[in-house]
Amino acid sequence: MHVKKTILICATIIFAFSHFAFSTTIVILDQHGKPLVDAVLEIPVHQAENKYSDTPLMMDQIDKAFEPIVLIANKNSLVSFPNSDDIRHHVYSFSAAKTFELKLYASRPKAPIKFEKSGVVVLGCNIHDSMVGYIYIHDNTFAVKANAEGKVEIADVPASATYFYLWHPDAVQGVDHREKLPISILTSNKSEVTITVNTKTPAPRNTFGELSKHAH
Amino acid sequence: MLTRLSIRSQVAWLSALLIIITAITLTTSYAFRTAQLTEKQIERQMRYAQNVLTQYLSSQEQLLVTATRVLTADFGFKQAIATRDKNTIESVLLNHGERINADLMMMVDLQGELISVSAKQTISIDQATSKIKTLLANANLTQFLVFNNRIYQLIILPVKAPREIGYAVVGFQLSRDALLKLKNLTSLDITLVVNKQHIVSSFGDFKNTTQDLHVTPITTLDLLINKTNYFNKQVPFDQEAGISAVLSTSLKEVHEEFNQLISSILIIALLIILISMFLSRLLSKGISTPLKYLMKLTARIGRGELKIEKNEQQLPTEFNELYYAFSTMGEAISHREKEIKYQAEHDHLTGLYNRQMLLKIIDQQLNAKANLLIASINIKSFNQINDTIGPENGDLILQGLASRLQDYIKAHHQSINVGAAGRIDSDEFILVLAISEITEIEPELLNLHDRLTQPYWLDDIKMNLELNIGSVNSILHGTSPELLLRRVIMAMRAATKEQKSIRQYVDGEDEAYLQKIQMIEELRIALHSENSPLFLNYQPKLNLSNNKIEKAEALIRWINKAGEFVNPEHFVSLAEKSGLIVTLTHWVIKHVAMQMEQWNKIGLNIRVSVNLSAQDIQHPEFVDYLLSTIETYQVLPNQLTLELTERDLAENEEIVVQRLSHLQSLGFQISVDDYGIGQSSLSKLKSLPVDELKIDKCFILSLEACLKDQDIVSSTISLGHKLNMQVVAEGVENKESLALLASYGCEYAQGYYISRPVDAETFVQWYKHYEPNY
Repeated sequence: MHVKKTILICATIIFAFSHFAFSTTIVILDQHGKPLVDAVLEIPVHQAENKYSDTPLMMDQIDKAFEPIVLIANKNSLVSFPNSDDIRHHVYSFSAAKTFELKLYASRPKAPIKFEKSGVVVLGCNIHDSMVGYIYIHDNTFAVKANAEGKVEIADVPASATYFYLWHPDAVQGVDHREKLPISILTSNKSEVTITVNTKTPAPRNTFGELSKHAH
Repeated sequence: MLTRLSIRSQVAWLSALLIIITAITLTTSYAFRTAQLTEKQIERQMRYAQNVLTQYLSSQEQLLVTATRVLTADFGFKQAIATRDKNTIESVLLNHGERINADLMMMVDLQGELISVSAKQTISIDQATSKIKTLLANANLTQFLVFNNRIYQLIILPVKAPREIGYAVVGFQLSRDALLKLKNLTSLDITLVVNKQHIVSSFGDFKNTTQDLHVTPITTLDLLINKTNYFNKQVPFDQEAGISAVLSTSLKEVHEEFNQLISSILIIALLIILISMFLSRLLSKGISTPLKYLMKLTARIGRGELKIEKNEQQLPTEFNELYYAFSTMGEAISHREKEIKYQAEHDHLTGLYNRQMLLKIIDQQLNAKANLLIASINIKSFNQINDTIGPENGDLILQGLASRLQDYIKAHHQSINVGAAGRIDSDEFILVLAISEITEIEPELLNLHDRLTQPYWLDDIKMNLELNIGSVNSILHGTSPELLLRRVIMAMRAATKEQKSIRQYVDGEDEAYLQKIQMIEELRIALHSENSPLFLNYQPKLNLSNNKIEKAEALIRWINKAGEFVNPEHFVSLAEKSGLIVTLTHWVIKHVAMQMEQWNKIGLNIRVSVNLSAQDIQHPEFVDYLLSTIETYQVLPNQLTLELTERDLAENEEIVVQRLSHLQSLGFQISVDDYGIGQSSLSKLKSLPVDELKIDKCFILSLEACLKDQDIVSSTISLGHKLNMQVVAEGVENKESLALLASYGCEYAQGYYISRPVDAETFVQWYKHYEPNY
């Protein structure tokens, strides 16, 4: 539901700022050919006006997970952290873009937080180590998140753009890394362009017992 | 070699050998089995130790991981790291390190750059950083780090906020204490080795044990023979860091157990050997004592003590049987001895004594000063009786006579107990009786003769025997058993010859007999001596048709040692009886041939006749000898005439005829000597190969006076002529006889009227000057 809504919003945005008359589908895959759902494609071209909304964006916690996992937000956007679980969460971030700590109690919302700097904010929960979420803050540029099939539809590319960024939280270069790619990839008149991003999922380390079993 | 030893040593050696073999076999097999078990046990121990080691390290890991998790999960710590609050980080590391008693605590960023370190030992930051970087690339949770000759077990855990922002490294040194703890669990010594260098060991002074850490797999044989102190096994510990653990188990106990086993088996084997020696002594005593006992027994049997009493001693069954066998053997020997003795002393047909026993008995009695009458009894013409009634019945007669002799002894000499009867030849018996006076002899002999000539009954056939009994007595006829026996037999022979039923020995008979024997012996020597006292005389035969001397008869003559002329008839007949005649005839043939060779050389052409006996012509070598001899002296067969009497021709007729025919065909002339006085058979004369008839001199000597002789001679001459024979008349002593013979047509005449027999030289002289004057 949320994903579709987001895509719809993005599509609207793309439509509004389109300069080229044709539409291209970008497919973002990892090295194994798997679609990268939460990849963010950013074309660093300043928009005429700051398009952040007045209503705060939502980073919910549902079933001990952030929802959405990746949230794209314009600089100075407000993001609220409602807790849809009936348990406590202790959301924190040590990221340079925004450091904060928020103790959230079930159905006791706190005031939204404003993100003044662009960059990637990594969200964690001190109580639930497995909860990881990201807020991608851009400085009034064109940024769009890949859908469930890892696809991004671009109808119009601003003529002034010469390069674009591709970001994914699991990229091998680290969470703060944005891959800078030439814009020509997007304007090659092809209806579908595939871009591969190398990712890594940290594998659990071998225990001594496993090793000795393996040795025998 | 073993059989040369005594039974005792054999048994002792055998048992000792068996025990030693058993001990060695048992020890070896037990040692091998134990070694195998020990090997397996060690292997099990090693596996167990390896498991314990792994378990220990993984529990250590768990402990470390837990401790590190606590550290990395701490929000304050995360915050400190996120904000790079160095002081706080350091204090947290120190605090946690003390809490879990870690030897090394480090914080590094994602690139491996050291953020902070806390260690019990001083650590060079640069070295640590370079090692940590390689460790980060490794995927293992636990890692081992060799650092400053120390081994650390390290845990590397990421610090997440919530994404990884750095790594916490927590390490424990694997110290000797840890290894000792493991040793308590596994009862094995552990040495950690890095690139063949010993880092830490549970051995007190592990550097000294370095040479013992052979890690080649140990075999059963090694356990038994090589006696290494330790069995070691290398277990890879961390291959990347090049660390391995050497597990060592002491073999001292195993070796001690082996040594103890071997020494106890040796002691047991020695003990058993001693016991077996003692037992073998007992056993061999049990064998050798009865053996000695039996050896004494056999020695007694060997000495001829054949009566063996029942065994009184306690002996093993086998020896009892042996004893019994010996005693029956003794009995058998004594029985056989008796039998042999009986056979040696008795005549088997009649059960009377034999000659030897008789001599013995006579000797005994003479020694006992008894006067003996010895009678020798001969059954007249027993051979004919035998031929008539058969040898079985003949034997019955002999047995009957023997039993009468024994009865006679019993009846007449019971009280004196010196009578003995014996058989010395098929039909010759001897009776020995004791007498006191010579006067007893005659009635005794008559009585005996009367008793023995009673009729004998063979079933229903009545047999009457005629006996010739000779007798001697020790009073008159000598005191030597041999002499008496010889004389009594002589008397018996004389009785037979004289056809007397009883005849006493006459003094001097024995001496005459001995003289004959001496003469034969002298003749034998004469025949073989070089300068023989024998010589040949030749008597000429006159051919009546031409009045020429054409033939001569060779006659042997002998002058004995005493210089006396021995009657040729006498010694020739002795030679015939003693078998010496063959040698004598050979001598004659040889000397006649030699003489004729001489005569041939001087051109004296005389046909010589030689006298042969039946024995000569029957002798298998006679013909060969005759032929080879005349060949040697180059005498022709037709120069010789062979003279045989009618009696000689009748004996063994077939072979005589065959040989004579053969000789006749070779050219010899065959002459029948002494014709007319023997058993003349005209049928024989018809079939015999005869060239010449020699009418016996008894018809010729008084031919001129006796008309009957004239008839016989004239008819014999005409008979000879009819049978195609020449006729010789011998014993011509006067002119009248010679004239008669010539008128009858007799071919040759021989006799004193012509010439006596003369020696060869005289014969030649006589021949040269001979002139017929009739």
